[in-house]
Amino acid sequence: FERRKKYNVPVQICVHPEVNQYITQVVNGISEFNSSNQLEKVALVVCNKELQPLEKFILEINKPDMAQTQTDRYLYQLEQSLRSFLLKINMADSLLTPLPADCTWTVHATTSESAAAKRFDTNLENNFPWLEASEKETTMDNASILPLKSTTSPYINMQMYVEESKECKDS
Amino acid sequence: MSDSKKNQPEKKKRAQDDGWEERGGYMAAKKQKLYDQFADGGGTLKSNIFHGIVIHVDGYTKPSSDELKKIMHQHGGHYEHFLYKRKVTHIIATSLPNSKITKGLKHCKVVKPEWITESVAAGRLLSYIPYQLYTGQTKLQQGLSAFATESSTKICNSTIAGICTKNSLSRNLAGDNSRSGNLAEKADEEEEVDEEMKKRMEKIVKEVESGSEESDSDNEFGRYIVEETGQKQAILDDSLTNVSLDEIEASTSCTLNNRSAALPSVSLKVRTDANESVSNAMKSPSPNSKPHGRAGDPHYLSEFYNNSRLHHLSTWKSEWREYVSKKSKDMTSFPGRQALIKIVDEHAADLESRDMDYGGSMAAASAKPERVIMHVDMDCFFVSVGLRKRPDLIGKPVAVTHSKGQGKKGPVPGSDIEYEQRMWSIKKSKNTATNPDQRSDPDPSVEGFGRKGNLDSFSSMSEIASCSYEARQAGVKNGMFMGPAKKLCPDLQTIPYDFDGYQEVSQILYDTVLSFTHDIEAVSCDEMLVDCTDLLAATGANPGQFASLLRRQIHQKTGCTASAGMGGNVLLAKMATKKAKPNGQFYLKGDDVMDFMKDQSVQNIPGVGWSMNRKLKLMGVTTCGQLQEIPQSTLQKEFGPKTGLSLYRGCRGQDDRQIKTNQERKSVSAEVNYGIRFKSKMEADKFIRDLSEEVHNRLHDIGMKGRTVTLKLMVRREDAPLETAKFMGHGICNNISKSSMLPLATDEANLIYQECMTILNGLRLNCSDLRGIGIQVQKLESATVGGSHQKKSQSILNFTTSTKISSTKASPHKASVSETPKNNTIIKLGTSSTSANHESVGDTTSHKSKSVETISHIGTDPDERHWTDTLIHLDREVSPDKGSPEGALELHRHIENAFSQSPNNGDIAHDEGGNFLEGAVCQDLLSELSRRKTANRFLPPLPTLDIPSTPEYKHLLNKPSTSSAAGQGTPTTNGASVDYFPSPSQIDQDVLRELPPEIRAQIENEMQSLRREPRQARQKVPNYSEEPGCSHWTSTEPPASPRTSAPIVPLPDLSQLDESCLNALPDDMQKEIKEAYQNQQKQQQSLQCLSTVLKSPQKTSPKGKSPRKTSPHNKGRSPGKHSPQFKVPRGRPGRGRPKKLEFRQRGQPTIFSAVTGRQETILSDFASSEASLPEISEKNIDKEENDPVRVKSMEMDTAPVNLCGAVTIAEVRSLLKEWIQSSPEPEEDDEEVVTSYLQNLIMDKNLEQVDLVIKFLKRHIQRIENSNWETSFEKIVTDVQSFMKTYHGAELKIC
Repeated sequence: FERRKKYNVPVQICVHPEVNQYITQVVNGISEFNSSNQLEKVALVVCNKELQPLEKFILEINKPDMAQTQTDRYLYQLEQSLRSFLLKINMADSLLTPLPADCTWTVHATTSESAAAKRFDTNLENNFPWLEASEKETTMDNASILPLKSTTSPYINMQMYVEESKECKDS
Repeated sequence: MSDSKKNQPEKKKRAQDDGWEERGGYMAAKKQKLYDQFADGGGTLKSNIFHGIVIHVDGYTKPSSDELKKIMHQHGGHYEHFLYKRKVTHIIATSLPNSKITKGLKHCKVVKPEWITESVAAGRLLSYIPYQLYTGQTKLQQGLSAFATESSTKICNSTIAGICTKNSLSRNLAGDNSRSGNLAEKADEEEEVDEEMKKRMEKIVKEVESGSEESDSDNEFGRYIVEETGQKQAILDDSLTNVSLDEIEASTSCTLNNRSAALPSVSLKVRTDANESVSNAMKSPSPNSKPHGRAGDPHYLSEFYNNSRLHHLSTWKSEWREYVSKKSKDMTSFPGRQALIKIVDEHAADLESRDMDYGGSMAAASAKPERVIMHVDMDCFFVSVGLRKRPDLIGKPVAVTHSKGQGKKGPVPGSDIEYEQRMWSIKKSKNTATNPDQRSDPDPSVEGFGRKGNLDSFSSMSEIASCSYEARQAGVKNGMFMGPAKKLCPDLQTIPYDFDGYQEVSQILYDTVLSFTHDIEAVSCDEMLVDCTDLLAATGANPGQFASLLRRQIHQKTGCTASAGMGGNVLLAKMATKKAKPNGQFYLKGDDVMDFMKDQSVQNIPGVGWSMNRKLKLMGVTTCGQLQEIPQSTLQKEFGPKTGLSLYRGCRGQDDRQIKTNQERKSVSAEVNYGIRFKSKMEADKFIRDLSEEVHNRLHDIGMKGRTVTLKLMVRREDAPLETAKFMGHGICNNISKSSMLPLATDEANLIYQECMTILNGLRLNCSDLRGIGIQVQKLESATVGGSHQKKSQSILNFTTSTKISSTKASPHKASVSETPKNNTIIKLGTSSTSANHESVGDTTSHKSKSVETISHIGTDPDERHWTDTLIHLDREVSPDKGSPEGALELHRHIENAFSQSPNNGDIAHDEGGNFLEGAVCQDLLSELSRRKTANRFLPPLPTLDIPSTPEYKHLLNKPSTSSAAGQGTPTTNGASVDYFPSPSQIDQDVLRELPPEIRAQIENEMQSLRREPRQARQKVPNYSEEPGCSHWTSTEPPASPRTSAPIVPLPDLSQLDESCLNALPDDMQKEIKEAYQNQQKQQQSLQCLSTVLKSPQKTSPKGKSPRKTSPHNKGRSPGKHSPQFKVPRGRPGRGRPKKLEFRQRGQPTIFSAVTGRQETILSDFASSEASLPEISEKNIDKEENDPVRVKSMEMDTAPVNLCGAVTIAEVRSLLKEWIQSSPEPEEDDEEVVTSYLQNLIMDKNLEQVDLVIKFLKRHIQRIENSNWETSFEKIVTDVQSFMKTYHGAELKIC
C-alpha cells in the first residue's frame, strides 16, 4: 500500500499490480452498469475463510432528478462530500467490530436481471467474467446497518453504509 | 540498507548530545562510516570485474542486498546505501513499483541481480542490457525484443569469451526447451545447417533487393524509401531472429553471427543505392531558374521549407532524436558490433602472438568500463556533402550559401541599408555599453564584420552556412555574410544547399552509429553524442578502436569524413572533437584532463557565451588554466552560485550532463520570416492556413496533439523602412507572440488556423507590415489517447473537416445526383450544385472545393441535421431579408468566385474583414441557405407533396417555415426562429466565434432566453417532426398574408379568454397576459417583438412545468400556449392534481391537436370547448386556495424529503427538539409523522440522516427520562427497523 492524496484526504492505495488490475476491471464493469443506469448498488463484501460475508460496504449510486437546478457549478460541494465519504470509510473501522484474520473480499454489483443477462453474454469479450453471486455469499444473518454517509447533489445521489453480521464474526 | 536503519535511532540520540546539529555533518559522518564498513568487511578481493561500478539495491532481491554487497566488495565494485544518481551506475532490483520507475528512476539503469551473479560466474563483466528490469519499450514489444537483444548480445559474449556459450544458448532456448537438451548432439550437423543458412540468407537478401526496387518505382521521395526499406529491414531482422531460433541449436559457432552481421549491411547498402538514385532523380531543377517566392504565392510555403537552411537545421535535431528513439525501439540487434568484435579479436590475437603477457593487460582494459562519451561530428558537413557531387572542387575553398557568388548586386529598391546598419550597431552598443573599451576589440567583431562592414562590401546579405577548411584558412568563417567572405578569399567557390544530400548522409551516419549502440543523443544532423560505455564493455574494444572503425565505416558509406572526440563526459568529448578536427579522433583520458583543459579557451566551457567571455576577460582570464586558479567562492560571488559552480567545474573538465537518449518533444512549430510581404488580408489569411497545415503535418508525423496554440508575429517596426536590405528579409521588427488555450488537444489544421486568426484579428495589425509568422503548438499529448477523437468529432467545425476527407472520396457528382431524385423541387438546386461541383473538380485551390463538397455532403446526409439546423439558423440571421430568387444563382456565383462575395452578402463579407475562413463558412451558410430557399420556394405551391416519409422531407420540414418565410421575403422571418433554434448544446462555439459580433450577440441573446425556458424549446422541436400534416404549409401559401409565417405563440383569441379566470390571477400576471396579446398583434408587423413575446410566456410560467404536464399527450401542444388553464398550475408552486389534468387530456384531446395546428380558424372552431376549460381550472384555483392543507401535502409530494418543511439535519434537529420539549408526552400523530419521515428518508437513500435523526432522538429522549417518550421512541425505532428490514434486508445498527 502506498499513501496518496485523494480529494485532499490521505488514503492508502494499493500498489500490487494484480490487485490493481482486478480493481480496474471491477470498476470498469461496474461503470458499464452504471452508465446504463442499471446499477442498484455495489457492495464490497468482506468474507471469512468459509466465504461467509462478514461486512458489506455498500454504495448506492443514483442519478439525480433532472429537474434539480445546477447549483454546484464548480463541483466544490461534490468534492467536499466525496472527501467526507473517504473519511467516513476510514472511520468505519472504529464503529465496526474487528475482523478475524484470513479474510477475503469480493465485489458484488446488484443490478437488474436483464442487465445481468446481458453482461453474461458479453463476459467473454471483456475477458473479465462476472458471475452470479451465490446465496451464501449474499445473505447475511442478522445483519445490522451502519450508515456512513449520504450525499445529494445535482450530479449524483450516493449513499454508503456498512452491513455487518455480528454472529458470523463471533462464531 | 538494513544496517543504516538500525543505526539511525542510536545515532540520532547521540546527535542531540554531542553536536551533530548540522544535518550535513551527521550525514557525512554516516556515509563515511558506511564507506569504511564496506572497505573493511567482505573478505578478500577476488577479482576486479566490477571496477567502476557502483550499485544500489532497491527492495527485495535474491541474493539479498547483503550478499550483493559482499560480492561487490570481493570483485572490485562498490555498494552505495543511498541512491545518488550521479554516483550509482546501476540499480539492482527484482521488482519495482510503477511509480518509482516512471518518476525516480527513469534514466537509471535498473538491472536484475542475476547480472551480478552471472557476471561473477562468467568471470567477467557481462553487458547489463539483457538483465534490464525494464526498458523504454512498450509492453507488447518487450517479449520479442528483449529476447532478441539477449540472444544477440549473448552470442557476442560467447564469441569473445567462448566460455559460457552453452549457458547462454540454453537460456536463449528457454522458451524452446524441447530441443535445447540436444544441443551437444547436434553440433555435428553444424556444417549442414550452415549451408542451409547461406541459402536462406541469400533468399532474404534478394527479397530485400526486389522490395526496394519496387518501392523505388512506387514512391517519389527518397525518404519514403528509407522508411520502406527500414520496415523491410525490420522484417528482415525478425525473420533473422526466427531463422536463428530455428537453427540455433546447431549454430554453436559464430558463423551465424557473422552472417547476421553481414546481412544488414547488405540491406543497408541496398538502401543507400536506392536513396541515391531517387534523390538524384528528385533533384530540383537548377536553383538559378527558380523565381523568388513571395509569401502568398501558392507554393511559397513548400518552396520555403525546401530551401530554408534554418528550417532544416531546426527540424533535423528533433527529427533525428525521434529517429534514434524509434530505431532503438525497433532495432533489436547491433549488427555493427560484430565487426568491432572481429577487430578486437584480431588485435588481441595479434598482441597475443607477439607477447603473451600483454594480453593480460588487454583483458583488464576491456573489463574496466570507464565511462566513455564519444562526440561524433562530420567535418564541415554541408561542404563535404556538397562536394560529393562536385568532386572538381575538392581542395578548393568552398562555401555553402544561397548566394550564387556572382558578386555585387544593386541594393534592394526601397531598402535602407544604412538604417539597418544603424540599428544593428545600436543593438551592439547596447550590448557593449557596460564596457566601451571592448568595442575596439577585434575579437567579437568577427561576426559583426559582415554587418558593420562598409557599404562597399555589403554586396550580398546571404550568410555562409559552412565553408571548407581551405576557406577557413583564408579567414572565412561560418555565419559570415557572403560579401566580406568574398573579400577575404576572392576565389571562394559557392555551392548551393543540397538538403536531400544532407538528409541522406545523416541517415547513413545515424544508421551506422545505431548499428553499434542505442545510447545516442542526436545533437544535429551531423553531430551526435554516443555513450559507448556499454558498447565497449560488451565488445571489449577500446575507444580508439571503436572510433576508427566507426569513422572508417562512415567514410566508406558516405564519402564524407567525420571526427570523433572521446572523453569521460560530454564536455570533454566535445573538446576532444575540436582537437580531433579535421578528420581525426582524439581520446581524452582521465589522467590528461587537467593538462588538456589548461590550454582550452574559456569559450569552450558550456554556458560561456559572448558576454561571459567579456566578463572573464576583464578578470584576465582567457584559458581554462587561468580559470582553474580562481577559487570557487570567487567565481560564485562574481557570477552567481549556479553559474559560478558550473564554471568552476567546467574549467576542470567536469560535466555531469547525461546523454539524453529518449527525449520527448515539448512543442511543434512552423515559422516563416522570409519573404513575407502580404498585399491583402486574404493573402495573410491563406498563408496562415498553409502554415497551419504545415504544423498539422508535423504534429501528425510525430503523432501528437497540442493544447496551446501560439502565434508569433514579426511586425515591421513603425520607423523601419518598407523594404529590407536583405532581399525579402524581415528587417527590423517588433516581435509579438500570443497564445491561446484550446479546450481539447488538437492537431487539426483548421482549429489551429482558427485560433491563429482569432489572435491575429485581435491584434489589429496592418497585414502589409507583417514580416514573419510562426505557429507553435505546445502542451503536447499523444494523439492516440482514446476518447479525444470522439469528442472532437462532435464539434461541428471538426466535423466539416472530417467530411472534407470523406467527401473528397465520394465523387461530388454523386452527391448532387443522389440529391436530385429526392425531391423534384430541388432539381434546380441539384443542377446548380452539380455545376458547382464540376467547377470544384477542376479547381486546384483545395479549400474552395472542400467547402463545396462539404455543402453537398451535408445536403445528402440527413443525419447531420443539427449541423444544418445551425447553418440554417445562422443563415437567417446573416441575411434576414435576402431575396431568394437569386439563391441558386448566388450559390453558383459563390463557388465561381470564392473571394468576391456576391453583392447581397458583400456587406457581410466586409464585416468579416476579408477573413477567408469566415468567408468560407459564410459561403457554406449562404449557399446552404439559398439552396433551402430554392427548395422552399417550390414547396409551398405543392402542399400535397407526397414524400413525408423520406428523411429528406422531414429534414426540410424541420425548418420549413423559417426558410420559406425568408424565401417569401416577408418581414416576419424571425417569427418562427425559436422553433428552429438548436438546443444550446448544439451550437458550436467555434462557429459562433467566427461570426461577426452583431450576429453573435443576437445568437447569444437567443440562447439565453432559450436556456431560461429549455423545456418549451425542447417541446417545440418535436412539433414539426411529429406532424407530417401539411396544415401549416397551406398557411404559407398566400405570401401576402402577414400571419402566415408560423405563429409560434398562438394565444387564444382575446374573446376566448375567460375574464373571471383572468381576474383571479395576480395582477402582474394579468398584466403580462395582456401584454402578450398586444405583442402578438405587433409581432405580425415587427421583428423586434420577438424577444418580448418569447419572454412573456416564460414569465407567466416562472416555475416551469411539473413533470406530469410533460406527459406525452402534452407534447402536441404548442409550448408557448397561453391558454389560461395552463397558467394556473404554472403560476403556483404547489402543483399536481394529476387526475384532473389527465381527465382534461382525455376528455378533450381535440383541443391539443387544434392547438398544434396553430390555425386561428381551427382554434375558433373549438372555441366552445376551450371556453369550458377555464371554468374547470377556475374551480381548481378555488379549491386550492380554500384548502391550504392540501397545498401543503402537495408540496410534501414534490419537495425533497422533509419533516414539516425541515430538510437539513439542523432544521430537523431544532424541530425535533422543540417537539420533545414542548410536551410531556408525544402525540401519536406526531410519531407517525416522524416515522413516515424516516421511512421517506430511507427510500430517498439517505440512511445517514436516518441514523443522525435516530441518534438525536435517542440522546434527547434519554436525557428527559420520560417513559412516555421512551416508549414512543421505541415504537418509532421498531417501525423504522421493520421498514429497513423490508427495504434493505437488514436492520439499522444503533449505537
